Amino acid sequence: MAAGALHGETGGYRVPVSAFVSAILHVALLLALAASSIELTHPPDQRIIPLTIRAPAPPAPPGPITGAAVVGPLEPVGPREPVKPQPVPEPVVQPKPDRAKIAAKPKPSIAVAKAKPTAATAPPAAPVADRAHPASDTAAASAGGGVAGGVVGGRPGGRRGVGGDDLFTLDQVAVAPKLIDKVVPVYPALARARGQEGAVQVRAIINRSGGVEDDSVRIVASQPPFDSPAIDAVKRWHYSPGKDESGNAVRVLLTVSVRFQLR
Amino acid sequence: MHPQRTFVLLAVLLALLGGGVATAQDDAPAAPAPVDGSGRVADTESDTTKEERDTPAQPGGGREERGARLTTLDEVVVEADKPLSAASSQVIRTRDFALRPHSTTQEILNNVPGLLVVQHQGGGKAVQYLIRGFDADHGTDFALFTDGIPVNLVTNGHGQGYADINYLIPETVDNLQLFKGPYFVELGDFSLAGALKITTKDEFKQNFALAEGGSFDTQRYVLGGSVPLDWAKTLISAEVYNSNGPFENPQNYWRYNVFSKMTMAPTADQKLQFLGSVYDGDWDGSGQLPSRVVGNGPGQINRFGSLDPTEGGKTDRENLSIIYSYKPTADETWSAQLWGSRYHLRLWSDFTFFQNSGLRFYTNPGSNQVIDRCAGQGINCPLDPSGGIATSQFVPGDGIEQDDTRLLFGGYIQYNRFWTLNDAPWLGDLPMQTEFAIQTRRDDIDVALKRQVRRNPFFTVTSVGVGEQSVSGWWGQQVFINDWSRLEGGVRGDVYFFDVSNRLPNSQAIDPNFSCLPNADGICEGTGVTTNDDGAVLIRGNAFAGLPSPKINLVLGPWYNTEYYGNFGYGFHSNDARGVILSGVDGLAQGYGTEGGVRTRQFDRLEAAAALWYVHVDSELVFSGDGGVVDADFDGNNFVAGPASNRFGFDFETRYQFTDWLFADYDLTWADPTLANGDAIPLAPTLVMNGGLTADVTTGPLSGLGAALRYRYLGSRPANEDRTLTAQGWALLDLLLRYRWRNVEASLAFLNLTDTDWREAQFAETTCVNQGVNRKGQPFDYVGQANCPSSGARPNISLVNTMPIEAPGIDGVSFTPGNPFGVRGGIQVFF
Repeated sequence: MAAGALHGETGGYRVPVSAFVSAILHVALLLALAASSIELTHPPDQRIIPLTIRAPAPPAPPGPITGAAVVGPLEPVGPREPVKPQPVPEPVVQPKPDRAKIAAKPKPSIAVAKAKPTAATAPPAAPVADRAHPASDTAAASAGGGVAGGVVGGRPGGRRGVGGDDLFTLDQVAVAPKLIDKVVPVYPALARARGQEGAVQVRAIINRSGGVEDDSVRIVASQPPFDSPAIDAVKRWHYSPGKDESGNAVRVLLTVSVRFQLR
Repeated sequence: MHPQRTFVLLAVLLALLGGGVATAQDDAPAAPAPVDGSGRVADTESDTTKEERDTPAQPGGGREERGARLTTLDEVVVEADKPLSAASSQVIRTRDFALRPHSTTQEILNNVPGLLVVQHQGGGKAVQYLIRGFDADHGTDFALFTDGIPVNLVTNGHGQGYADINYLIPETVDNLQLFKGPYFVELGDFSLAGALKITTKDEFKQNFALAEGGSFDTQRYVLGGSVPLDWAKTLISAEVYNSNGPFENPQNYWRYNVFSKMTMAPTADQKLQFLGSVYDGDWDGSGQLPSRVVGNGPGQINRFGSLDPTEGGKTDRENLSIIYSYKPTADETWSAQLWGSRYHLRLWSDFTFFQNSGLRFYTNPGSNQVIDRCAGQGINCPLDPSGGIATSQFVPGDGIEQDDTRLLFGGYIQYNRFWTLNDAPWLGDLPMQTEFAIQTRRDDIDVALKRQVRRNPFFTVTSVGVGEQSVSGWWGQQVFINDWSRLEGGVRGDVYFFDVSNRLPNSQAIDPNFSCLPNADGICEGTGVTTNDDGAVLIRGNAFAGLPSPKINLVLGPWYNTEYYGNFGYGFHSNDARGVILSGVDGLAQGYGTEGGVRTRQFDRLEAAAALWYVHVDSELVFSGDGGVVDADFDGNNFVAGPASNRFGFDFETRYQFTDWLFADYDLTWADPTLANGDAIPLAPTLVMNGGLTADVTTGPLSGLGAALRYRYLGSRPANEDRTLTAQGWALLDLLLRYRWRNVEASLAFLNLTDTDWREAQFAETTCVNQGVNRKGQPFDYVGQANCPSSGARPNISLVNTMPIEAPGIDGVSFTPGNPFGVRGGIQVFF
């Protein structure tokens, strides 16, 4: 093989116009590479909507009886608190079921939620968990003394939330809610057709019977076409209830990630 | 290769590589961005973590240490099928074929629905692709890409579109994207029957070392690993493979592969990938045997024997590639690639033995050897009375050497945008996706065809330098008409420049094969210096060809998880530059195809697709058994531009999940390929099936156990136009077992379970076999048949033996035998 003779000695071979076309194309490609790598900072197309849980009503002033730690409704005493609570008498007054409470409440925020199912249409800074927390009603009602979320007849050092509407986070419950009945979100047709994938994060409150509180579902990490299918599905999920250390079902605040991917 | 050119190419690539690394390092500390498509998700999680900590801390504080636990989120995955444009398209992920036997890339390709690949002439040669009624030879109508690098080689020394994928290490494959039909705007040359895009992994989940071996002295060693870096995903893998095959003349195939890849995201919206690979292969072939010489009868040889054991080849290919993508907004994407390869092939073949050149040596009464130029030509040619040049030390014949040395490089740049056309008449707001791209490729080739004996070239038929350049552009448009209908249209244009310069001198040294030529009166004349009139072909000139290829696809659905597809498109294959210049055939041969199909997924267990299709090709590349190496047929593989052809066919494929550990799959392609005059298309496959059962146990006491039973079927098909010869079909069964215990995985494969005698590759050839001795001088006592009379005792130069030959040659099927039953075992350790 006459190696080294690419442009041969036979002389019949010249660099054609096409080689220049090719060179220009390659240079253009390089320039495009170089130019675009200069633009380094573009906002990611996913907006993060901060969740602001409404600040709780201030605890009742320490009365002669109450000596409990000052904590908000979202700050119950953790289950891993080293000091075991004193034996707590069973609550004298059973709390009303959630449903009743919700039903009793005016529900402007539910309407809002339904009108604006996607976080895409909501202002990014809008407080997501703007609904008045039931616990604060309790707190307001018991403004005469005691602890928010406390139980009538409760004792100092007792545990909150057991009988009330207080919200537990995952690390505060002894038994985490488990997803038992999952409605799979619908992959939006247009997103699928154009090959779009993504993930959203949804925050929801699981009530004591394991249902998802209808108007508690919020997008905390949004990706527009996937937000509303995720919300619609999560609302219909069912969990095994979360429980505290005494085995009582409690309301739990959860964040789940819903990832949409094409196979 | 031209040193200056090599230098420029390397310099550009290295500069880009350096620039990319620098960019990444600059950016990495400031924004330790997650890599790859999961980048955005990872962002989300870290932001959420921050927010989780902040928010609850407001009222009480003192929770920081516990906050972290909140970030372990339940994740729910919603899966949908990738949007496809045709029912017959498919994405095949590693998990779908992880369990099936594949220690070679050939075995991976055999798991692609509707595709069969077969090997002839031994290990390192590119396989032949059988798909959709096409015997696409080594890739004439089937386009392959690995990580965007085109595998097919234009104007290749051995065959147009020659696609040798041995440079791919099986363990690095992540997924295969299969396209059938010419409906896809991003696919150009060689994609009339279909295309396969192979994508490798960005990183290994675990480093590993693998050793396996088994029957036929086969051994294979692979190392693979990923270096953990904050700012990039890396992958390095190396492979050594050796096998002798079942042949009496050991195949002695050695393959060395090194592959590396680095993927990074300089920013969250950019992705940059560098890739390099090196491949070297070297083997001896046993060639194709005329079926009439194979058997247990007197004078016949074993099917694993050889008539010309000096066949074989050497090849290497090195690739470099850079892929860049940039997503400035959620709806826009830029992507670009620049790749370059160096390639080399030397291939020694002997398809017809003494058919074209005849046996030149003859004993006259004075026991001088003279040259009979006319033997095997059917001409009654008197011998040179002078006795000529009778003392050459070789036995000539039809052996050829095909050389190809080239640099090739190319790239593309593509812009993709999702947008909405507002207030379209009747349709309202129309979401759309628009894509523009330009693509280019250049091959600088030194290609030659020589005649050889025992790998010694003694006459050069052609030797040319070829510059082949293509520039392509396309526009693709998707219209999302509503939730249940999508229209895709587009057009691509391809322009090819062929520039061929002759490298042959005006005369060559004396060649005994051409020293006695019949003149117009059939009288031998001329001895001494051989002129190129004696069979050499001088080719020079340039040509230009261009074609538009419009394509349109309609997708309806899904309804009940079922989608309907209608497709139509034009496509083409380019022709060998030497043939384009010499015989004036069009540079591009056009064709079109259409298809209607349906794809469904039911109960989350059953996936099925079916398609009815039709393909027309203006100029079929037809196998021509006696085309001969000195005719206007420069690929040496006897495929010549022939008449128009039509193919109707039907594809069916299905996957079913019985339980969470047992799966089944079955694919069928039936085709009716005919030439425009009603003749058969030689060797075009008519019925292809593959399928199997796969078990993958992940729980219980048998956890870690996997098994796959695979089935492959190729129906008998006509081997020539008038259907008088048949290429025999076959059915094969393979079983693979695998057990993983902690970080060790053992595998055991039983290949060709039923020990079927099968003909892997087949051709109709007119061959002429000598008797008495094969090319290595080993005794071979095949006795000629009645219609192939012995033409008398002729001495072999080196052995001085009687050596009758068949003359004229005999039409028949020549074949390469497939492997008999074999076992392969292996151990893979992950660390």
